[in-house]
Amino acid sequence: MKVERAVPRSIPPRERLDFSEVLLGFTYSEALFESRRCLYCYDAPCIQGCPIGVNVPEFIARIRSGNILGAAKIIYAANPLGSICGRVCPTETLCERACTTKLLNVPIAIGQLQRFACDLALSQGKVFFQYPQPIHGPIAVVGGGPAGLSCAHFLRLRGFDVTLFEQEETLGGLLLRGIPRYRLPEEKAQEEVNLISSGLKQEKGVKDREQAEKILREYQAVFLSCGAQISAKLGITGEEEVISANELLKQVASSSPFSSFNGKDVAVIGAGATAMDAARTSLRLGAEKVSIIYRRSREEMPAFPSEYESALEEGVEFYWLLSPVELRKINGKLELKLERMRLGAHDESGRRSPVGTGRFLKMEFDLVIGAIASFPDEEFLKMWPGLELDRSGYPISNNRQSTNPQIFLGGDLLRAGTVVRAAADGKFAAQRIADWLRQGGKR
Amino acid sequence: MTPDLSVNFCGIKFPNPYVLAAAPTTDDAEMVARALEAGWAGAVIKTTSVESEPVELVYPQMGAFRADGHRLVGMVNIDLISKRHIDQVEKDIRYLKRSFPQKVIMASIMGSRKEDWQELVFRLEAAGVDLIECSFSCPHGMPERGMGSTIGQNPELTERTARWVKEAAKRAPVMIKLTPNVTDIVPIAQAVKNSGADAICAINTVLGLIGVDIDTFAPIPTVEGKGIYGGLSGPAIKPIALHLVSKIARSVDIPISGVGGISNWRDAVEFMLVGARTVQLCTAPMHFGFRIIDDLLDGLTFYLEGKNFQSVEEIIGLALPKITSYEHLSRAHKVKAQIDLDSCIRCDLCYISCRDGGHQAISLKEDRLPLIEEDKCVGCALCPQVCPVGAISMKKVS
Repeated sequence: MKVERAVPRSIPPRERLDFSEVLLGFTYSEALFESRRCLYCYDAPCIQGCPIGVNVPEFIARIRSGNILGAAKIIYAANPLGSICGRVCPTETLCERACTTKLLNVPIAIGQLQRFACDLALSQGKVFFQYPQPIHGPIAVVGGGPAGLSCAHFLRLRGFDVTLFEQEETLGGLLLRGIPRYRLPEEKAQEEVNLISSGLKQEKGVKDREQAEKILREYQAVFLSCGAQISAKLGITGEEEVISANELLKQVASSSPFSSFNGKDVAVIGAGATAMDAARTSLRLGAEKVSIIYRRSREEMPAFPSEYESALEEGVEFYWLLSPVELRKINGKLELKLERMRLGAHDESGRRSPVGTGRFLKMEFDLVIGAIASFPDEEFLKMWPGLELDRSGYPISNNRQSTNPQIFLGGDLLRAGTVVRAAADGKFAAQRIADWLRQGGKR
Repeated sequence: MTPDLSVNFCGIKFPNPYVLAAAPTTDDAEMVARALEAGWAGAVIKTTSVESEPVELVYPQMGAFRADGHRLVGMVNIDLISKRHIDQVEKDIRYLKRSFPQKVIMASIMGSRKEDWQELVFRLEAAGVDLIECSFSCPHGMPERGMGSTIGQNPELTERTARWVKEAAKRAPVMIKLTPNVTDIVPIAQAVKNSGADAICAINTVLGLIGVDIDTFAPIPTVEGKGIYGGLSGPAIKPIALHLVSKIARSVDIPISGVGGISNWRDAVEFMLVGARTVQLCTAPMHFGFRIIDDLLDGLTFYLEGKNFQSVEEIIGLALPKITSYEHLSRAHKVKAQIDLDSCIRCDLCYISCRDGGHQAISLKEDRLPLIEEDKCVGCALCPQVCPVGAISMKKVS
């Protein structure tokens, strides 16, 4: 049985010259067409596949009946970032991977349907939640990215008095200062961020241990969601010439795009989500050629399939099994010495590890971007009493509660990696905080 | 050997069983010519009347009933008989008979007075028509004037009117088109037989209200804010038509042209199995065009070949002996649902339908695979109907 899946219109790869959104989303008739393919499974596996538990078959049934606002209501009940997640979720690894219809042919385009329903509701100014007058708390949320915003949202829905501490001028975190605009337009991110931060008490970021201790005294619980924005070093000679992918994305998102990439030959080291974003962003900044260099092979690449496909179709070149050893500046060019790798035994991440072969090669670039890994700000975390970190510098967590029982955790601090997991952390931590306080809040 | 698709109907040889019903598709000689060229066996020219019966149409005329709000499964119309009167239809028949001598050109007529009916017959026979169909069945617009289904809902009027027509027809066989909008169609069919008419065409459209506009509260189709009950056609009425065709075939010995919701060759086969000798189509070609005749012919040919039939006539009525009444169904026959777990996609629609609409006889295992609890399964066969992949069958148990 062959059933066609509705594919949203997109800007063709050759025409993606600026930061305009690539996927244009479903039209009404496309959404209806796609919704009709859903089998409306009982106890549907896609719900389990969604980290934040959106009731997928219910919202699709509502689209099918022409009740689009009802669909949006279902989505927003589970996820206050419905439109955003509809755009940036790696659905092929989540709900759509679990989709029963996949066993027939291709999964339902769940993410695109979610985006369609939420965008329509937003365009009509329909808001499905209302915060009651706070009667519990106060609770402090530190970090205004998707995890913190989601936690604040669900705490406020439960009647908690919430104050959000954010060091940046605006809320949103990576939604507005990390994810490139061509995947998530600023106004789309802003819409939902504004909705859930309306009426939310805000303070500037936490500066020192003294302030952290004061917060712990004044607030019943703290939700820490300050992200993992410290780029890992490549650990090679010439490191100072390497541009941090996180810094690049932040700068491009928040200020006028810089022109220094025009005609440049750019290397991106690493093959995760940030590397794909950095590579595609470089192309849009005018780079002549962008190469992704990764020490393992395609199989072990942490980027999601859809991100890899997009980078590939936009012309990013991939070099596998190469590990940087040294970076030298010669006549204005950067000469990158690389060691050829082979795949060895499986490491603790379950992937085959790269092993040096002792054979080397050199490649020349104008710019080298490092995108191998990010870590939490250890200095910042150390300001919080009783917060123990693991070997990699991440706080130790027991179901989103840290070693200081008053401090709860979420987002990239818990290696969320995606907006939806971060939002789910916020949601489930809100539940955890409420439960913990009801049980007496033992410290 | 390629099976013979031709059928004998009232002594007329149809090259195949597929006929265009009296409808907008046959309201123009050029359209009919295109259809006949495409492969249709014949056409019933859209119902005509005498010049003294004015036909004033209203627009819009159509409305749709959609499954899932999407696929058109029913269509309603508030169209009437042709605006073209007998004088134009005569010309069409002459032209079509001359151009397509091997095809069957039929005319549909409607009148109120005896003289009108008979004049229509004289003129059409003179024009060379092969068969005359009489509409005793139009459910809207005409009954108010004592025509259409007013006749077909009354055995006496049916017999009397059919007799007028039969009296007048010297050469062409007379076929009476019946309405499904009756409590019992058998006395009507019997009345046709008693009149001496040669054949029955069943069914015309089912009286229906296809929908109400939930914004304007007006019935659909809406003419300046108002609407009427219309004639429902298309796949949605096929079960009603199959019932009535088989019922006539079991009660009255008369050739039947089956019509009502036939969309493809499978539907056509079903109609022939319950006793239709030819089949008429209207909504399907209106929806998808005359081109559907290719698959209608092809599918029927391969079906007959696969079953080793030499001629399509061999299948006529084969299902009739198997239609019985409730008290004759075996009480000893026991079945249980059986799930082919290799085909199961674990949507668990069988589970929820059995739980809330059956006998709670399906349980779910840890891996979402459904399990039939045979002691609870009564064999109702709800679950195979809802299974989207056909993984459930009913197996006989002793």
